[in-house]
Amino acid sequence: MDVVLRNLPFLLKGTFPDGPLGGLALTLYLSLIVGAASLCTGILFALATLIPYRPLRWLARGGSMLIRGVPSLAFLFWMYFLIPRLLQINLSPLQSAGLALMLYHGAYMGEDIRGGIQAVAKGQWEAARASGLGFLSMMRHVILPQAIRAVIPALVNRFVNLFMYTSIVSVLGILEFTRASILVNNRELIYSLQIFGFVGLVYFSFCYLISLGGRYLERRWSWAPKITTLQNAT
Amino acid sequence: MRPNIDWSFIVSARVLDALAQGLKVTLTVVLVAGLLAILIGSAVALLQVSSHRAAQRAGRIYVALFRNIPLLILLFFFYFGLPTLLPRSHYPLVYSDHYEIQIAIIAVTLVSAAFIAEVIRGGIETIVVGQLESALATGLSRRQGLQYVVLPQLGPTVLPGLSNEAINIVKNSSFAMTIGVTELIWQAQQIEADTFRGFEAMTAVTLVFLLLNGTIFVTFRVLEYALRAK
Repeated sequence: MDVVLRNLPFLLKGTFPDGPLGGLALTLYLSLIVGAASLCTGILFALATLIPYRPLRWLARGGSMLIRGVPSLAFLFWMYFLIPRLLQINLSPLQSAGLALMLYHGAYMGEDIRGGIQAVAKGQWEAARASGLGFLSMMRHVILPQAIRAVIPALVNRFVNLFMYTSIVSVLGILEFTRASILVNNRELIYSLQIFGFVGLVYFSFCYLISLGGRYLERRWSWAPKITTLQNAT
Repeated sequence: MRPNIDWSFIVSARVLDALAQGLKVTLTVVLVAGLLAILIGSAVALLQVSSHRAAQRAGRIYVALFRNIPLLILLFFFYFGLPTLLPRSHYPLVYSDHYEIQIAIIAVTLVSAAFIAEVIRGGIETIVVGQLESALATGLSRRQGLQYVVLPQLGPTVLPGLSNEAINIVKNSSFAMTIGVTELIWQAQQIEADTFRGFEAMTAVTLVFLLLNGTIFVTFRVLEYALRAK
């Protein structure tokens, strides 16, 4: 435990006062920004895969399938190496990692939200159409509020995933929590068990908090009896 | 900086050779981990829907634990952390004989089993709970109800989720590169390091992954339709 305490400032905020923000603080910062951005991307993806204009719809479906069919590591390397070179722009590792995570999780959230949209009762669609709403205003005022509410448990799971998978940006050398712990491990050499145990515990606590929120929402919005409460007839 | 990309490099012997080697390792990890994960996952799901409090709790703890720790951290914990429990003299013994592949399989299995357990639990819980109620009402025991009424109907409802998890296992297997498992993405990185032809190598690897995942996707779709048609 001593080794963790000794390196705690570095694990929590990286080299912050003297250098860029890092460690757990960077992980939290990255997940907040990417979380908000990928929710927006997800909604856009969901709308684009349902838009009544065929070329755009197929483009969105194809793109979403392509993104979801590739390991996140491969997608990360793609964004990091290829996009700056193809578009002739400069992206810092953090920027390309943020973009990659946003698109990657956005595609998944898009799938979840699309499921929710398609589960909205048919009468709602017909009523919205009948009152003369166009595609976008129908989505915004009638369908999306119901759809998002219905898929909140799925979205919460996605946010847990997003938080955990910010750890993969460590392979680009970004000094977030996982990378910081690898550096500490390399420096201390013989305390791997304690260091990675502590890091696992921290990730676990944050994710568990998000899951608890999810379970709470799930309970609040579900009406079906739980299977575990059914007993043998006596 | 000019994009000078040589697409013919994708079919060069260097890349094809690396792809073959990487694919072998990736498939080993995926197949073994997939098989173990479905076994452990089903067991955990059954624990979660059991009527014993302790069993439910054990299942929930398992899922909470392995769904909430990043795979990367698990890999590092097992790979770097566990051997430090052994005396120093055992190190060469531990790290010989492809310790990294075994660790990769174990970590991917544990994580995927948690997700598979949730998929199966979701299938049992939300879809057919009314069926179990009727089974109990007709005088079957809980066990009989689960075995003869609920489980046979589970196929079509959990297959889409299982197909997602199968694809996730393929994708998660790539994390093993971080502890030195020579799978597909590791091979691409190696080619990048040797020849600076990282794009071409990564394109080739991406295509292989898309092919693998496409195969899984289609297989599960066919299975789903076959089960529905019955």
